[in-house]
Amino acid sequence: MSPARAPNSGGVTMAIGDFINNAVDLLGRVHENTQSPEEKEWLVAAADALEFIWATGQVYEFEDYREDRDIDAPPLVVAAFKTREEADSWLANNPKPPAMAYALIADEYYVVAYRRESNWRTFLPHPTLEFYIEEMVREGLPPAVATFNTREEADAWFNGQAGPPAQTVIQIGGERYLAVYYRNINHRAIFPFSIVERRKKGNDGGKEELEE
Amino acid sequence: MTDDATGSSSPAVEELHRFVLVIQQSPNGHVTHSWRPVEEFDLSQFRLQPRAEKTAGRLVLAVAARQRDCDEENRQCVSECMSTPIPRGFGHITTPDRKKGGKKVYCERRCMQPYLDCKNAQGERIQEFSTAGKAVEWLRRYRQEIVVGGIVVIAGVAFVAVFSGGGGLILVPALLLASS
Repeated sequence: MSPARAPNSGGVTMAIGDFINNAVDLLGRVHENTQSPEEKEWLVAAADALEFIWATGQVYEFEDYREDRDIDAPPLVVAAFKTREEADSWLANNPKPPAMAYALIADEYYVVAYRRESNWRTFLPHPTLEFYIEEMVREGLPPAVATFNTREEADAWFNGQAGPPAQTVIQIGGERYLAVYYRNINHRAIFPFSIVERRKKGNDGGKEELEE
Repeated sequence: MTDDATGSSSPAVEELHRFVLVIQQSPNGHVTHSWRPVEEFDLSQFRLQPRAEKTAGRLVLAVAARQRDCDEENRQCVSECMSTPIPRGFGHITTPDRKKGGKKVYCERRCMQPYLDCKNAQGERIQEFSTAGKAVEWLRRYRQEIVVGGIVVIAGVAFVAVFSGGGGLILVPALLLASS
């Protein structure tokens, strides 16, 4: 499997360190030609972010992240839990909670709410997946790549793949689902497209339906 | 003297229930706080009329404060953002070589802070502090996040926010409201 977005310059693969150096260099040159102090600070922040990735040893995560940006997939999550209890205990004991990142609890999206100053920690439900699926539906769903009679069959098929695509549209018993693979945490989830439908029904009396 | 220099020092813990905490912000943004004896304070100036009753020795406070629907506000925030153009440079970076979602990411990020502020202010839990000094420090910083009717427990004494706005905040001992 060849990397989808290896850092390159003129088609030549480049070491990530050189790639970051070049980007920081470019930001520096733009900085020179920027007048506004506020905008200068934003450029410095962008350079700092790149150097932060390097200094904290996250270059591989960064490469994966950039690759994933080029692929249609639901928002990244930093962790997945089976139960709220499991999630709460993880958060309570976490020395560095991933503030404002998404996490899954029982395959529902939550945002990690954390304030360092007050040590406020909790999970808040977030509709990011609904937004994502709404957009997918609006743009026209790709056809299902596989059809199953039961959820168990679908699970077996999905779990049988070592490295499935980030997302796959499948059909189970006449209903469409999105099979999502979060490779950063090696987690698989199957979401029904009907999560959007259900919300719409709640809002405007069930006028909207997903169409084939 | 655990309090910082810019505010009045805290009353003794056993006296706490007889003081009102007032946090104010001057037009130049300077924040001060003061503990004022309840006798100096006219509670009738606040529109809020909490119903309080004592049942079986336990104080029950029901405050008629409007609850915000943070989740709905967040949805609306994202929808509104999605229907307005995003900054030119940002769009340039997220499209067309980037797949869909650039604008969604932008909008969710923009709406995240208000969402967390809303949830935090609503008091996912009651704010609790072991000492008045710690409470004051926190409240001075997050005074705008406390909504009227919010409950703050300081060294075991429950306070209710009777006023919040313009960078100011007034906390009154709950027991006082119960007997008024």
